[in-house]
Amino acid sequence: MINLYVATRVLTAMGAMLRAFWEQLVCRICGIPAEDVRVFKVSELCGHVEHELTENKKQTFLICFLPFVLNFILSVCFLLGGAYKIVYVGDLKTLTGYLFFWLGISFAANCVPSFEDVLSFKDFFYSKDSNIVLKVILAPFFAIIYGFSILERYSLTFVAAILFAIAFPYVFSYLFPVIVTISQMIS
Amino acid sequence: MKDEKDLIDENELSDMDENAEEKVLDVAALSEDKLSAALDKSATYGDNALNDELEKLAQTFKAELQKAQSMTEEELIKKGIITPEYEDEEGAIPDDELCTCCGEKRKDKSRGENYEYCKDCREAMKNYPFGSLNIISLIVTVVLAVLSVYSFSLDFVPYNTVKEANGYLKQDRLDSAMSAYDGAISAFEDKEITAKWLYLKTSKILFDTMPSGVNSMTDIVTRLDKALSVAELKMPIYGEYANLREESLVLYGTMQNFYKIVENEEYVDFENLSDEQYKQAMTEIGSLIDTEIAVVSKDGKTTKMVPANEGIVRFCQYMYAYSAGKYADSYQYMNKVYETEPSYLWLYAYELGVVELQGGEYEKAELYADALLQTNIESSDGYALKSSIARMTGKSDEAIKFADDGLKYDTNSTELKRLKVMAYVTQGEYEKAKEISDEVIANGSYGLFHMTAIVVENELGNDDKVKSYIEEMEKYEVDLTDRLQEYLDGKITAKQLFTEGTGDVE
Repeated sequence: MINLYVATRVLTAMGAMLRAFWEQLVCRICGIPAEDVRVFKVSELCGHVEHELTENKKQTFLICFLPFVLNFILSVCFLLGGAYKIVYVGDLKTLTGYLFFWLGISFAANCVPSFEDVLSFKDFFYSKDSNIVLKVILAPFFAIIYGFSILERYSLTFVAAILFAIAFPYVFSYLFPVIVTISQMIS
Repeated sequence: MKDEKDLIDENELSDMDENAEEKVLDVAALSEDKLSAALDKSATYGDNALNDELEKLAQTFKAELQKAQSMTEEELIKKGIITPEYEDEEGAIPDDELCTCCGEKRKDKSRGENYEYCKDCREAMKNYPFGSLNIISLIVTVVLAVLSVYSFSLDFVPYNTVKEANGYLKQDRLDSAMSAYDGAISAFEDKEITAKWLYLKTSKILFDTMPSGVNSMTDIVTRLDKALSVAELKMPIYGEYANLREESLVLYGTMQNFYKIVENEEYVDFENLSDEQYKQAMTEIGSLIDTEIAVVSKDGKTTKMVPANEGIVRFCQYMYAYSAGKYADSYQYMNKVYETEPSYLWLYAYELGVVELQGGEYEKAELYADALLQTNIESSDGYALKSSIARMTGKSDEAIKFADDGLKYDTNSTELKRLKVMAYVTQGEYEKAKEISDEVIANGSYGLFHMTAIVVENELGNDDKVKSYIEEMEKYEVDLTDRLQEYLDGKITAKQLFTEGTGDVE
């Protein structure tokens, strides 16, 4: 299982490298000692930065949220250039389309924090004495990272990323009227 | 300056253990340094100021000394003033107590019994440097991301058109979907992009609607050849499209063979055929069922012989029989089309619907109209049938409404406008009918429309207009139909013309 996991990280190398970068960046910002920043190591933390347990809510939130959001945004950027060509209209002759599509999948497959970080998140935000309003607000985000971090342990985030990439153009196209409105306002 | 020994003796330090002693002496040394600094400054002081300074220093020294003396060894260790020394036999830090990172200093046990690193290494880990590969990856990623978004923005307009087309397709608005897809295909072709999925989708829509008959058949093959390579046409995943291509070629080939037959001198004047010539023609057309059509591969290298399509052969027989005025026969052949190719709605549904309508079988006609609209909600044939059924069952308001529904999608349909005119005539709303017929005739002549307009002008008593329309039709060698002549002769009323029998001018 570890070998399969490492293989999917290698296959989605760019996403894994950038996720590790964001995690290391958060560690520096929050003063969390990072023990091992190697991206490709044969362990469950392949693609993640090995760091000390977070000590407060701010650190926990940032270490889970920031890499997730940044990699997701990058994934969307690449799928705009790749998924629309490959999946939406079937332009299968341009190399850039394939490159962007692969990069979009890479970043989508490397959004989720490590399971340990997710458990820290749960401990800090979903303990008995935590603020109920905060629990409600963070519930969707927690559900996503918790669910997908479990999938990641079985290397299924790679499959999920491919499905996301295929569905992406059809879902994102609901935002086209907004894009049209904004471009009309600009012009 | 006092030496170390003097300081030790003076302050009774000889009983303390070495380490504590050393620290105390450090404090003393510091005080000594301060003292010597003060002495150096002494030249600038008067005697009183100097004495005060010296007094202060002595008091500071005493206070620090007392403080150090009062602490226990544990307290000194806790404050970090001294470090506990665990000595093994050789006097060094054991391996299991060494920091995992540097291997030189002692693990920081204040973080926990199992903590692996020393304080210094822990501090360094908070500022772990970024690797050059990470920085390069970040820069490359950002550049590529910007390029990706830029590339999307360049093609946004055709993507938006495809989105609209997909929306129309979901609503079964096949004509609008086709138009939008073609717009997107054209935009991509200008950029030399082959939008494969769009070609495949439009080929399927074309096959379901066949808006241009034979031209649509060749159009389907052209689109499929653009989208798929020879190898892809052999793959099981594209089997559906390979079959579509073959079927279109067979339909086209069969039609071409039919045209060759009817171009024969003997059969070309189908309106003036003898019974024998008619039978002969029908037999020859019917024999096409037993022929084979050569289906050539995309690269022209292989040819496959496929039996002709019986459904299209029966349709050819229907067309010829109808043109020859053999309406009962034409109805039989159209029923055979339905029996052999029930999926070819585009081939038989409207014609059979009209036949059922004219035969008074309104429910059957309604079924064909509904089938047409289920496949394509923009089908003007479907709305035409619905409007005609409503008019002939005395529901002229509904007839107008169905015509208007169809005109929403096909604003230029002269047939739907004609049906609206007929509905208004049955209601006695001749002015409203005239408004529409004047507009349509002004935009171009249309045989049946002229005949319908004649009825309107006749009802309004505009004899001059009636005469000018008849003259115009004569110019184009279009004869008045028997039914219209019956009406003009006063044998039937306008309402009877449009609600009984065929329910039309022909």
